Amino acid sequence: MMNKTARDEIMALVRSGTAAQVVDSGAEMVSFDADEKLREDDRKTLIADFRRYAAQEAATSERVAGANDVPQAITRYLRQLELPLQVLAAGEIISGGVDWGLADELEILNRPIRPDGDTVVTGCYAGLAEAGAIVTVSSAHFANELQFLAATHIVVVPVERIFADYEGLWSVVSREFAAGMPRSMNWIVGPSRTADLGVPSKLGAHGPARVHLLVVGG
Amino acid sequence: MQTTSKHFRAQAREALANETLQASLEGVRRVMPEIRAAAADRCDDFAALCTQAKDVRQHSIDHLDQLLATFEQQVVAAGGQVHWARTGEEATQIIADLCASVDCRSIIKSKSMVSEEIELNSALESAGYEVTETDLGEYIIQLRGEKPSHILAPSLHVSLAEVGEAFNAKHGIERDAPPTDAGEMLLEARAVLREKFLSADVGITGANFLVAETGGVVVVTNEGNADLSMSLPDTHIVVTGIEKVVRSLVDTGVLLRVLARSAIGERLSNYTTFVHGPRQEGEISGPRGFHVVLVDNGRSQLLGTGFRDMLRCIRCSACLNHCPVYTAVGGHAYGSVYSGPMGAILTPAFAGLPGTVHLPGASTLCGRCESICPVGIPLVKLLRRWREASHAQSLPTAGERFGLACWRLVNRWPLVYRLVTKFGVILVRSLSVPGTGQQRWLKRLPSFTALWTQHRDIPAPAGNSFQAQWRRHRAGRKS
Repeated sequence: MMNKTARDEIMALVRSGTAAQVVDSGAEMVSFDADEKLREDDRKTLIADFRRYAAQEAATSERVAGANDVPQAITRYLRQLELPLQVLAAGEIISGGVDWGLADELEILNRPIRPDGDTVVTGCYAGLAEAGAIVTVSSAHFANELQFLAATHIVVVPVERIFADYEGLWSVVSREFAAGMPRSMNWIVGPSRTADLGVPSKLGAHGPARVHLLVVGG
Repeated sequence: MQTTSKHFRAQAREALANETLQASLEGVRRVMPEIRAAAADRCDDFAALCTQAKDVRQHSIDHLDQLLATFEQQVVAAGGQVHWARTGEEATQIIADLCASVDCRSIIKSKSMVSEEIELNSALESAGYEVTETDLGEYIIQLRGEKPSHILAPSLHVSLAEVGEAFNAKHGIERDAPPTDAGEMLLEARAVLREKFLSADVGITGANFLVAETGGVVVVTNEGNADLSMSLPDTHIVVTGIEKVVRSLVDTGVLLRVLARSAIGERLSNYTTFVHGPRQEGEISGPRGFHVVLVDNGRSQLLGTGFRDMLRCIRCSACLNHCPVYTAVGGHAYGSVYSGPMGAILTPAFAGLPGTVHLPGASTLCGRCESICPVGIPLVKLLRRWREASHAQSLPTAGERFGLACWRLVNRWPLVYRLVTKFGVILVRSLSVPGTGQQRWLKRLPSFTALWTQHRDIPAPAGNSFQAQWRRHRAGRKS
């Protein structure tokens, strides 16, 4: 009962406050007009800028021709960093799936994630060229916490899902999630970092210390 | 809201003598304005982007009742619950009750200035819960039993050696000496906090924005701690101010563009999460309980006043980083969780002017804060407004009021003004010492005026006032 009263009282105060001085800005929001805005029709620029801005936030990336190149690319990346050739694959990595058999040495783990140290491979819902960010969404097939618990996060990004700017993403989201938003939509750019232990920032504060993007297609 | 703002002067003196703090503040002065300016320069028209952001926030404030109602409706539709708190005490009680209802033992938290404002941690600890801050800066000050000294970098005042000492004292790890290496400390904190994440029953986060059209809660971090806090425990509680609501996802995108650029000089923070309700059908993870606690605590009272514009604030901290007073004394001197120019306006609004009267005075009114505010808050005007209110309530000291009365007298009588400035300039120049070229400097003033030169040198005034030069100029033209 107390809480209902609180709501009513707050809303009454808000209404009287807004009524006292409503000056509607009347401005309709316009799209981003900075020179960083990318033209959707220029896909090469789009991909280049997506990778460039991701790199500025300490993510690494690599282009691969198709889904069949993903297992080998992951193996190469892990070997280069001298990491175990073992990954947890979370959710749908790419439409049509990945044939993990194409990389004999790569082991796909079938166990729960360990508290720290695992490499997790995920797909993504979208890429945002404007910021070099990837977008993932939780679902019945994707437990999104895995991407935060991993020590290394490898993300497969189909080029056709890279959008120039936030407005491009929202327009697709409003269509594809018209029935309701996913529980969690995560925009991630680069590894987890902190500046609380001095400058320069340290990577791997809580989430992955390494984020590697495999940009597929194009 | 509890403050120690009435001790601002003593706290500022203490801050000026604190070498660790001064070294950190020097870093803020040197680095933060530069990286923000560089991020703004990379945009074709950052000013236009800020105008858009201001319009978004103004729309929120002008339509707050409708947006809050829509937000509530959408959260409920997504399976969550919305709770309303008139005061900080009500908010902490609601959250403690929610924790009790799920048989909670341990709580993890990501950084939330509203939770600092309402002193949530102490309330929950009094109720018997273990609360662990997970933003590394917040964790450090929690270990040290301190308040944040910056809204974005709460442990700004703590040296790396002091962090090592805190870890050594609290982590129960046997070793010969406290850790000194930042990388080692990071791994240690990560391991300790990872255990806390995995065993917590409730995760509490703040919100950077609330999206009315979808019922979304937007949380921004660089560490990813909020994501773990809101995805691992079985219950997620969001505690935030009522003014955070915005119209749509598109509007939120506009704010995200100015937030990271203004705060840390980046396009986007590392983690931006849009949460909509609890675990959905078929999901194997995610919290089963999702609660949003909307805190008023004085915000609605500002709507109908001249301080309404302050509700546009998005807590980017750019005004702190650009303020000559904040970057001289740091956040603790303000005696409030909100410091710098935004804190000097918000604190009197939330805690009352009598105990916080020094804060609006803690500004040179240089306008630097206002010029870089991404949502166009007229900070200088609002600081002046508090000063006028404090004078109207006779809150300044007798000495200050006497000084202002003298100033008024001098300014009302041109002859008195000329005499005072003429002899004043002669007196002040006699106290100055030569510098390079023609410039003379005041390095040490006598008696109580020594406070002015205790921490800086002041250029001595030129030999003649503008009025004297103008008179000579006119006389020259006539002859």
